[in-house]
Amino acid sequence: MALGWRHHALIQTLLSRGPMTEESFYSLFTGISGKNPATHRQVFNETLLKINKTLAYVQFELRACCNQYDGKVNYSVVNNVVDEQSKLGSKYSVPQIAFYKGVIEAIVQGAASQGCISSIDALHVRLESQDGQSSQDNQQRVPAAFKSFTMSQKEKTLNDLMKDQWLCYIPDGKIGLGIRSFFDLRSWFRSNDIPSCEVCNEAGVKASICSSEACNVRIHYYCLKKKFSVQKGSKACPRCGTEWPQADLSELDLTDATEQIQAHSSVSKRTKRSTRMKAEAVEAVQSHGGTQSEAPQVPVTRKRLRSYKAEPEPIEDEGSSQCVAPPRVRTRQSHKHSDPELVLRNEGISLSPTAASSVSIRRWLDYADGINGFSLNSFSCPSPMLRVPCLSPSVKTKLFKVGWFVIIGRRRKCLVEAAMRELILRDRLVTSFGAMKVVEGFQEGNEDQF
Amino acid sequence: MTTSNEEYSQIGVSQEEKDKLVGEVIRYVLFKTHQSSGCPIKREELTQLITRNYHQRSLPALVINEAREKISSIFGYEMKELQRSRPSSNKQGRASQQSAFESKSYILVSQLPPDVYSEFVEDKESSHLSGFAFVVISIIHLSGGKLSEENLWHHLGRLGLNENDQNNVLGNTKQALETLIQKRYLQKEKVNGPEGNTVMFELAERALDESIIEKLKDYISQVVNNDPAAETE
Repeated sequence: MALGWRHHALIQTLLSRGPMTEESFYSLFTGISGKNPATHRQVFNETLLKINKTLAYVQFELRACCNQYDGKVNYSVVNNVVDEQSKLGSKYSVPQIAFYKGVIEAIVQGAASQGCISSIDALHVRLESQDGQSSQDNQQRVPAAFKSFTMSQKEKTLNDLMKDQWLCYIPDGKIGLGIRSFFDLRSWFRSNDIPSCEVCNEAGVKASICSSEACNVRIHYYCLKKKFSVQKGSKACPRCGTEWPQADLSELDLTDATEQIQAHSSVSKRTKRSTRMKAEAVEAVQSHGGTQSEAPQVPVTRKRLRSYKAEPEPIEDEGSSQCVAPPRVRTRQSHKHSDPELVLRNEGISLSPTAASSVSIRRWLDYADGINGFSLNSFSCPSPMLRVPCLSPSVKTKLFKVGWFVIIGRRRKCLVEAAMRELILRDRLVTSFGAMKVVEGFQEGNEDQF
Repeated sequence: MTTSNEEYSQIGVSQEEKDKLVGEVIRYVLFKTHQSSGCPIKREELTQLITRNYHQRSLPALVINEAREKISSIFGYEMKELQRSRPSSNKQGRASQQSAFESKSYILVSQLPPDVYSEFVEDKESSHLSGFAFVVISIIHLSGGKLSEENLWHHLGRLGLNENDQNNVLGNTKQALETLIQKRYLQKEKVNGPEGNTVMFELAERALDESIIEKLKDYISQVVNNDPAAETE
């Protein structure tokens, strides 16, 4: 099976430039073949399959892998077999490799499975011999190079490893595994008993862990999003049934529910939805689309949104724990009187699935600060919701900005559209019919209202 | 392909064994090239891989040839054969055939069209190294293919690359020069002259390739055409 120059170009690029993000790889593919993988999925898959069948001759593979720190997919050509030849394939010296091994061990064994260590701790990693014997026994083997591996050599090695993407720099002065490590160390993770993610079965180096101490289930944050946005019912550990830590769930991107609604006509094959959910999503979208140009049809919208679940169950599985079904709300009410969500609910305003708890509001406030071109102070909102005293006007306007589907008046519509457009661009959601209308409306030039 | 299969079976090597050997050779070439950042690989190293377990005399040649074909069809790299060139002063009195056989080495060169290569494949991070190589090779070429070390440093000094300086991007300039020697772009030679020992730099086999020389001349003339100071000299 002969490969053409295009296949060769893809392979050579990955070999010479190293692992690439999906975005770069897609644009490389587009540049070489003229076809964008996002729209020509089949061509893309067939090309990769053809390449892999040929690379198998030398035990190589063109594979995708998730960077566990940002959830982004990367592509690379990797070696699948350890043999004499592959041991040559490193520019690092023996002590440098031993140091790398010590650092990655420290990273994966760190508490709370956050997959990182501080750079100070990295510099203090001790070089053990490759076969794990204590350093006293190992006096005969390469001890001098290990013993005399100075702090500055360690520092230089760390920098080289980061440059070559074996390690990566995480904000707050921490060091984590680089994308190359994720690609190459699959079997090492297994042999070192790193628990795998329940959803994707890759090692859970940076992952959310079950709150039960007896249970060692881990789920990547990006896998949590996928799992609990589809799942009905409570967000519980799949193995022991304990409720999944609230803190981790509230960190989830609030666009989950947005994604669900819009995923109805999504061409993305990555999100799987049940057909029932799709039907409900269509309903919700259509009702949403309908309310855009009219006066608030709040009660109607609310019913539609709540019929998201055919069963009389909590709405909260719509992607984030922040939306709470009626039964749960009542229990919650007793605890969190100042919860904006409840306040809004009390006002009789129907909430979109992205109703925010106080934790998420903080997050969205931070996010909203980054949205350009909005002048909040000059904005005045006549909506009844905004007369609620316990929320400041700026908070209320910001809440509207971040994906609320309640549209009250044209002005609010503009804000929501802008926010949705931001969200869509930012998260690369494929928009559904309803959302497209929203975006188009915005593009018609409502910006001058600000 | 059928002919070579017959040849293999004639010398008692099965298809699977042959594929395994070819695979090992290809992997060796790829990993070694990465480790040494493009230094040539001696043919002896490859034959050693094969003769470790197999003693058939004609096997290494067959396997290496097939490996070259496969690297080209799988990866699009040409496993270019270089004949090690001796410094010009040593060329007399050597049995050329003998030394030619011993000194074959291989490098990987992409077979992609140059525009595709430079747009997609090339790792822009390492472009400083190719720039440096181009400059040094051009200087030596313009000096007739041979240049004393002193003169070379004089010319490099004009670019701000002094012998013991630590350049931000290039690192130690002297070391960068050593890398070029390892990659067989240049070769060094000590010459006993009347004033004592001088070190002469000469172009080595990799830089003496016809196609490279032609391109080199093109680029040099571009540089000269664009540079008003050069024209007046």
